[in-house]
Amino acid sequence: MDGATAIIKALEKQGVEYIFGYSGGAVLPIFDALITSGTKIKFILVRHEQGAAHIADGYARASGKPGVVLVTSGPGAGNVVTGLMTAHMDSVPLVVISGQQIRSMIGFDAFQEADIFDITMPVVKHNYLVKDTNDLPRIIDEAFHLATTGRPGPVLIDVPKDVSSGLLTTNATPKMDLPAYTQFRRPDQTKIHRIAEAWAKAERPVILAGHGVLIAGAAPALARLATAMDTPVTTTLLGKGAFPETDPLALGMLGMHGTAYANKAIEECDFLLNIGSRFDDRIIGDAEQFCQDAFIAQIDIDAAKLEKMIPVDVALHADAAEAITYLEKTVTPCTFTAWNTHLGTYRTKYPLHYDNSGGLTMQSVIDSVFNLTEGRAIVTTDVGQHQMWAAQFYKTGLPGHWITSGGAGTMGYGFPAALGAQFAKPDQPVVAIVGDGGFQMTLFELATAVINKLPVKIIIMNNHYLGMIRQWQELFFDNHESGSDLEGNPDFVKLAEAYGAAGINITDANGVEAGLKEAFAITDRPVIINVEVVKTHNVFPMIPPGAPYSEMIIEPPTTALAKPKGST
Amino acid sequence: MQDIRYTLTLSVRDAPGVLVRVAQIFARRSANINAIHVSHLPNSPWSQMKITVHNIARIDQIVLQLEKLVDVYAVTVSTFPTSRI
Repeated sequence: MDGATAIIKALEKQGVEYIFGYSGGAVLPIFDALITSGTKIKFILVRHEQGAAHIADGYARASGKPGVVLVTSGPGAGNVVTGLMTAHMDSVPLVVISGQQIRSMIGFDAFQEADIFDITMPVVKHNYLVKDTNDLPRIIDEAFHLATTGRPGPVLIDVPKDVSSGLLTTNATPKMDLPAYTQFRRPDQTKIHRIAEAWAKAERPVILAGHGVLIAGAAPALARLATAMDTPVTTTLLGKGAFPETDPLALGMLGMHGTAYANKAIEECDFLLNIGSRFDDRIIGDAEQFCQDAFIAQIDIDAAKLEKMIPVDVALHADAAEAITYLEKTVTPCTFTAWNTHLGTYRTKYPLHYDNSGGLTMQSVIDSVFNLTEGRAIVTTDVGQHQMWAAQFYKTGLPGHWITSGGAGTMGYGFPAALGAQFAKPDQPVVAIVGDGGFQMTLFELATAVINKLPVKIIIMNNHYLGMIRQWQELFFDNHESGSDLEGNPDFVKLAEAYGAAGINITDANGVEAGLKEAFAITDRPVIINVEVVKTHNVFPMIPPGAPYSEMIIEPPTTALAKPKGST
Repeated sequence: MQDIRYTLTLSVRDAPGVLVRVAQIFARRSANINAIHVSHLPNSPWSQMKITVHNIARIDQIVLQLEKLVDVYAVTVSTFPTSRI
């Protein structure tokens, strides 16, 4: 058996359903084996390798299974770097196989040779440059193991062309060899008890649920724990779906653009239980003033995330599911009626709201999508204003139904990720909420969507601006619109038609319902819904970067703001 | 600020690229490596690295990030205020 066939067999053993990729010279043997091996794995040809990485990422987040990518050497592998970085930041399991020059030419600046092993090191959980054909089955087993266990992440395998076309000289069953790969340990029972004791003494407790809860499959357990403890739950951007946002205990998202009531709860709480969130800088604001007087417990599977941003009272290195199970056994159910009533006054006083009197708002469109899909669509987003409003207004009820580039903030992610989600869940409605800027970064995957008859609904929130950049320029840079005006946008409806997709224009509030209904009735091809929204609205609430929660801006400010202390 | 010298001792796999992976953890955090010694442990798949750095703001983060590397088995740190050396 040759190396290429061994790769396909190893992928079959892992239960791989799809490979997303793009061909090239150095990877031809593996592409050939896709045919000669007679495999049932479906190969999906994309239009750009970045698209393959994001499609695989969306597939992984929607299915819970690792996404697989196959690309060629040099520029092919170079084009997946942004996709690797995106998956790495958000703990998404990917296995990327890249072709490489033949071994004797590596390091000689040969045609399409790039040192992708070194280039990708900082953006993968681990990577390999395969030197021996006999190593391929073991390395693929290891790659899947590494990608999916502990804190998940992307793994890249660089395969020289003569390694994939070479013959295996052994039939031995591969044995994984990862002696230095240490995983999390059992949760420390003493720490579990300390959390339970502090919770029992608390008067104003809050649970902060991050992506770790979803990755661990612990959302149902979290719902039981929060309900038993009568404790409100706020989620991070990536934690959406870890707790049903329509539940009375749900506070929605916290942080820079979180709901006012979630942020007030954080500001006033005396007990904060963070499960599976790394306390990202958009959540912390001013580290020195974050939950100063509260008892803070942090549970993370990645020890390097514990106490990275702020000191905590209990730092528990554990898998979220295991920790929650132990907590469930340890805590005594109780009620926090006064606290929940108090937070209720904030919900009434500072609700999420919008006003269409000045033109069609993104928020109202997202609200309409939520109502039309009864909150059950898989929603992917791009990055920017529409992402924050989607996070606020599309209340996520289930795990795997909210897919967004959180850590990396990769524009161009939302649309291909939606294709991946649709491959994973062919019978579910998938909605990509994107901006006019980000969509144009990866719109060429319309071809991939059309050929595969993916009925993804692409809602372009078209304000003809890089809206979030313009917002920051308005708030912090004297309204200097530098490089944020997207003059020259194409006619997105014609663009859709050129690719064989459907295109619908929505230009005012009266057209929203009919336009969306028409879009959702189409089931055999992708639909672009171009929505002309108000050009210059800003996202609120907003905690300026690096500012404490007490400086949250709930309504548009009428006076100039100081330059923020924090970064982004 | 007192001058602090840290010596990190790493047990690592004798694998290609492991030195780059380790060095990247320091470089990303702008930490200069003052001294480094790598030796293969005879008749084993392991190597030992000894790395000396000065005045690192977050040595805890560096150690945890090093320990996270798939090819790094363990990291120990010893600290010396240089005034005592």
